[in-house]
Amino acid sequence: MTASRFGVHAPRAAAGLAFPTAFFFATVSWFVFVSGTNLLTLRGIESLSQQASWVILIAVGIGLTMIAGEFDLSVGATALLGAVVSIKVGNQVTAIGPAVGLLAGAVVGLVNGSLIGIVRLNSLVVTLGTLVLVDGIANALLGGNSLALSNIDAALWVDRSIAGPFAPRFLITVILALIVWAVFRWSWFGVSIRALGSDRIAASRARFSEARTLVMVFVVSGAASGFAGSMLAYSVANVSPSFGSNILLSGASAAILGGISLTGGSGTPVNAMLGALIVVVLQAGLADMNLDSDTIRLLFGLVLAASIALYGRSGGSEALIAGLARLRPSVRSAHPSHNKEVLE
Amino acid sequence: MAVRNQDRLPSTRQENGLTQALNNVRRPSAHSGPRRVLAIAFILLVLFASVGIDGFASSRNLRAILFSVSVAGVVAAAMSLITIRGELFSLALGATVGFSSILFNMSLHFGVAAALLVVVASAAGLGVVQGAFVGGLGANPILTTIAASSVIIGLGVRLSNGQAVRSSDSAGFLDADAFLGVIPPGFLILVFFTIALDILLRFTVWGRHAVLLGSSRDAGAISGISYMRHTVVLFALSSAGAGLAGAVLAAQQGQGSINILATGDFNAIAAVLVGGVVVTGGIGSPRDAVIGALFLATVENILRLTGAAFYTQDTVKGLVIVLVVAGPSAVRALRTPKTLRRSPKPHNEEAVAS
Repeated sequence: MTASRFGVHAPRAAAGLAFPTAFFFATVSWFVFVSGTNLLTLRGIESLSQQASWVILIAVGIGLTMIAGEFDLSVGATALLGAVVSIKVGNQVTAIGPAVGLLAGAVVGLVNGSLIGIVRLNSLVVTLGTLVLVDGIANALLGGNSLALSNIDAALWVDRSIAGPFAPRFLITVILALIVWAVFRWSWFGVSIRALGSDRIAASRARFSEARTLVMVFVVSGAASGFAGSMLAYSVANVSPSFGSNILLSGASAAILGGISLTGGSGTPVNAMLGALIVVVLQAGLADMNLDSDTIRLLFGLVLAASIALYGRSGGSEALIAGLARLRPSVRSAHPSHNKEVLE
Repeated sequence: MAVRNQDRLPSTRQENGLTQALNNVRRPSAHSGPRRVLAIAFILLVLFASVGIDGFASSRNLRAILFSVSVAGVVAAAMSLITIRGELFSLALGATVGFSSILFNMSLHFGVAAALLVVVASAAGLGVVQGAFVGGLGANPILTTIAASSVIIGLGVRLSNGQAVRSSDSAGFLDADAFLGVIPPGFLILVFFTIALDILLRFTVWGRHAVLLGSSRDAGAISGISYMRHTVVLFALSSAGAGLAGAVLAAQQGQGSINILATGDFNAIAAVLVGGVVVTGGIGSPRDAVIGALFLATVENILRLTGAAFYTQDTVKGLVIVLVVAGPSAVRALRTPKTLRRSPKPHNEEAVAS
């Protein structure tokens, strides 16, 4: 068992990339060679990268909260708020719109993080509350209508190819995601996220600050969602109340498919980015097979369910085996302390 | 394998096993404050609205409130089962209501009783699958139900071809006139459903196990309850409740569509929390959730009478959830001396991990 005395599973983070990488290449090759889609043409990569622009940011945000052993359900609503705020501001001064969207997202994250890290409430419940609240606020700002970006040049610029098939929107996203990864990899902040996610009690005894770390994690997640929403809104030059209804589903699927365990402590932002690429390829490939959006949604639900089954508890196939073992009725598994006695 | 099972528990629990687990069983008597606050707020709200708002204190408006609470109340009661059992919430109940409303209208030509049976049985089937994921594979209930909701919406759209489904057959007693001029048939179903669930939780072995597992999963495990079987039944029951709500809603509106109750999950969660069911499980009853739903339906009715837009109602609902969940704990956290705050609350991490 990788868990040491203190329950910190350091080695798993590296090992966790193997399965998602294999899955990614399997998906790509299936869509290219078997179903014959044009994913790997210049045009295909261009549209993939556009889609990936927002999925990567959302996945990195949710992924970070998952590594810390929490979860952020409010990303979709936060992205909507970021989109609305950035277009409202962007219609006055185009350049600062996305920055204000990012800021609005960070404020939502600050509220989430304070309630979770300082008041110590359950993150699923808190972010469910802010989901409804932020959605209400964003819709109130929209007034029930859709809102257009008046500066069409800005909309064209964010999606114009400047480096091969890649547009500024994608490049900015990748740079931001890499910054998050670098901070996670090399700073003490990253260590405390993993420590809190691995074993909350041990981390607290080792004097990792639960409050500071969780506030930071949720601020990053909120800011990423707000920015992703504003860039998406800039790209389509429009935001409507139904904007981003599939953001949470895609982001959560990406983080889980990338191999970030729901129990926390394992995985890195790279897993989230890889998961985002898998999701984007799946979406594009399925759309290319002339399936309607509701069928794609159904298939995505199944994909998410399958990945929850695989990674639901302790990461990878371990969880599946443990789950199957639990299906067997036995007195031994009734309580963990019994297992210990039987073993020794 | 066995060692892994053990590793999953927080380290402090391992040491004391039984004593620790039994100490974690919460005592319901410690939690009657929120209900009292809700009762007072409810009475004040009704008093002020009767005096201050035109058209509130009329039998027509009362019927409108009872009409809208019949569906919301059944969903809230179904949701409260999951919350009391300690599985937080389900986000698939709204989709199940939509799916069931379609199925109800499609099978209405077999007769009302048969249609009800079909709807409740298939909704229970959807619940069994979710329960198997949560109970058998240890998957997180909220994420599982998000995935399930997406699958159910996809199924519903395929079933109805994306159209609203109408039926030319009568929905029988579900379609009857209001009794005494104010009580719609759906409300009677709500009353029966709530009483049945209350009896189930209080007087049956399964129900007492549900409350125990909600209080402390460890204590439940020591008592020899099969977590997997219990969870499957739990989700089947809750989902069947959503199916019943879908049938009532289809009869009320004369049509069924997948997003007929799109925000149903959040309304139900708000009702559960406002009613005083505790998020971490073990405390509260379906009755509380229904009273919460009645309170929210009254607030919504007042907002509508005063002409507030629907998004104002959503914002109010979100605020209510955040305040109810965060309010008491925030006050407690601020009152606690700083030195005591360091010790982490185990239930916080446990809830996410489950």
